[in-house]
Amino acid sequence: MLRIENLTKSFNGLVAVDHISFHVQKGEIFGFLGPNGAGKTTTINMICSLLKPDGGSIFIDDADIQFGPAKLRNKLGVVPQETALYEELSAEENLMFWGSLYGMSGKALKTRVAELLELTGLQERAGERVKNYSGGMKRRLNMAAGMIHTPKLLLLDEPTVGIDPQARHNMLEMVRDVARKGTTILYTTHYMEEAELLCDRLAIIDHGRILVMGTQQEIQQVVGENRLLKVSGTFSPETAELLAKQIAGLTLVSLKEKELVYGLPVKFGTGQFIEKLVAAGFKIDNLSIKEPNLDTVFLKLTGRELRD
Amino acid sequence: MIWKLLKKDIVRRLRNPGGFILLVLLPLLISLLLGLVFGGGRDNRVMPEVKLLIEDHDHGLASQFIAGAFHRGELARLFDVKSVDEGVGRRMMDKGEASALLIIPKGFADSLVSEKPTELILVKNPSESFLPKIAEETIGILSEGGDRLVRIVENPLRMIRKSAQNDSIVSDEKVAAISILFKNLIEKTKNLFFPPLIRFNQVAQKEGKKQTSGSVLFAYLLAGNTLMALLFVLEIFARDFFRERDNQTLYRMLTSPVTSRQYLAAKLIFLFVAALLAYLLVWLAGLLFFGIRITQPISFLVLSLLIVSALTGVIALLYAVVKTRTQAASLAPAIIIVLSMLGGAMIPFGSLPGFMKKIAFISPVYWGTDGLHRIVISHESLAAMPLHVGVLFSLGLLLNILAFILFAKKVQL
Repeated sequence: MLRIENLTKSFNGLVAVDHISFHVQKGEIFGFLGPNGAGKTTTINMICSLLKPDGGSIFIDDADIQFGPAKLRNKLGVVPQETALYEELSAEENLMFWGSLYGMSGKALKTRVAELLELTGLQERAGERVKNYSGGMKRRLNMAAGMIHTPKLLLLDEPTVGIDPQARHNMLEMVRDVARKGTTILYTTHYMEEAELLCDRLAIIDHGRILVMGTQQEIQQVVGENRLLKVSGTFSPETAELLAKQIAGLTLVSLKEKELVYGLPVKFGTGQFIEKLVAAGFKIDNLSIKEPNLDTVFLKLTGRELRD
Repeated sequence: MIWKLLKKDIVRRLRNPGGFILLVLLPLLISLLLGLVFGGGRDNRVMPEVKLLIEDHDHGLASQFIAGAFHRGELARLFDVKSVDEGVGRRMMDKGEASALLIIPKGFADSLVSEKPTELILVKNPSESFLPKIAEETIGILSEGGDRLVRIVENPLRMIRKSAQNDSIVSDEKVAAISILFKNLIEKTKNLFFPPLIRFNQVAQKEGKKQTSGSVLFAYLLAGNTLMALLFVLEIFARDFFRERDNQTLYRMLTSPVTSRQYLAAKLIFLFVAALLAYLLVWLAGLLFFGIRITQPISFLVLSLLIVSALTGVIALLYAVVKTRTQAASLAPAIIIVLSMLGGAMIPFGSLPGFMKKIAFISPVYWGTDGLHRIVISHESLAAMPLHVGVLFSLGLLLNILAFILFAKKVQL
């Protein structure tokens, strides 16, 4: 459904997207996981043809978007980070307006608006002005507006930022429901838990480059069965490296002046390992243990946590 | 597509009717205020009357002449005169019940006849500034006139006075001599008075075509004032360019089949339509409530379309050039005030300094205001002012096209 090949974009010499390639199958939920500023939104803007790539190609349904992007917009639905709605209008009027831009009208439009109001649970307050809605209601309506024309490909750009857990849960349910009905979804987020819960496949992106891509199981193989230990304090770098060589299965993921990350095999007891650190002359200020998940993958690949 | 976008903006504006009505009525409210200050009502009586008290201690012919003067002609319309008993005037003035108190002293008439200095006393109400001044000026003119009259007839008066003092009965010879003196006086002055060199002729216009001096003044002020207010109204409507960008609705719009050109066209049309509505409402109020008569309706409408188009272009270009809403909010009032001042909207064009008059042609407000004055006040047709038409048409076209091009670049991410 969506194929990206070698896509590149720079702003004033700063590379925002650096030769990324991936594809998303029809009906799939593909996660684009990365910290803020990783290049997720720039990629989405290029897929929407709002930004012109410096290099590479984007294909939607095997059609290159640089040839006739306007025609392809009917196949695309976009849910921006912010709630892009007219607050003076009601939910129903907003949906009617956005639908009309895609050439929808009459009974078909009314039926679709009613469907979406039911899906988002807004039917009882459909006539009320959006400015009176809660943040969660606005988010749901924002998503409905992106789906009004039943797009084949739905681009969701961090749709759950700044909303409460209940509203987030509802949003994720909606996304699953839409995907079940056959819509292909590209879902960008910096919430590891969302990606784990929702996505069939995902790519982890940082500084404009895809670090790893695949199913959750495939990606977790990067860290294997290892837990990650993040140690802050005073230590000798040489000792830290020596320790990694002495203990079988222990890997030094990252090393900074006062902070390091070890990959520790699950079979190796944590208490036992801490004793070894102290014996080696480590003065530990802080220590955290991460069980194997997407966040540990990101930590292993970048030496940073996803929310750093 | 453009209609869908336009309809959406109209509905949004109507959803906030208080704000919308206020914006549309802003020029009207300012004009109403001006109308009340400068006159132009249907009965042409917006000037308050001067309440004048007269305390006559003399009760002679001269004092009756002065009091009577305020009951005739224009003075009767301007003054509300009340004769009061001795001492009453002062008490009323202390209570602030009149603008001025005129005290005619005892022996006033005798002093005039005997050519002795005398004086009228005027007490002004200190809490009023304008109306007591009118009373002072008017009484000053009457005193001057009275003094001249006494000097012209001083010889006959002197003879009458002497006769009255010497003889209990005036002889026929003296009456004849006084008559001859009056006759000679009239002979000498008749070239000055009969016929008068300047004749004042008041001609009443036919009912239905009446445009009073007040309504002319109102129309004069309304033209410039409306255009200045219109620029402010346009500026407020134009803020929607940034609002749509900040609210991300522009982003969503541009991911839909809507092109940036359609979006911008709809926005510019909305600005034009909203401004035209505000403009026409102001003039409609001028017609209905202030007696303005537009004898060249087609010329007026065509000129109005050209003016609104040019002013829309000015504000659209401003918003196309600036980068943020804050920049626009800072720059807009300065630009509007400069253009309005140059155009004679704030100060009558004739009162502007020479250097400002020389550069006034750069302001569309100048061409608009002058054109409106010529159509509404001088009743000229648009055919008589091809330069105005050409300039406003060109400005409207160029400014809007330029704004469109710059905006089209701006809406690209």
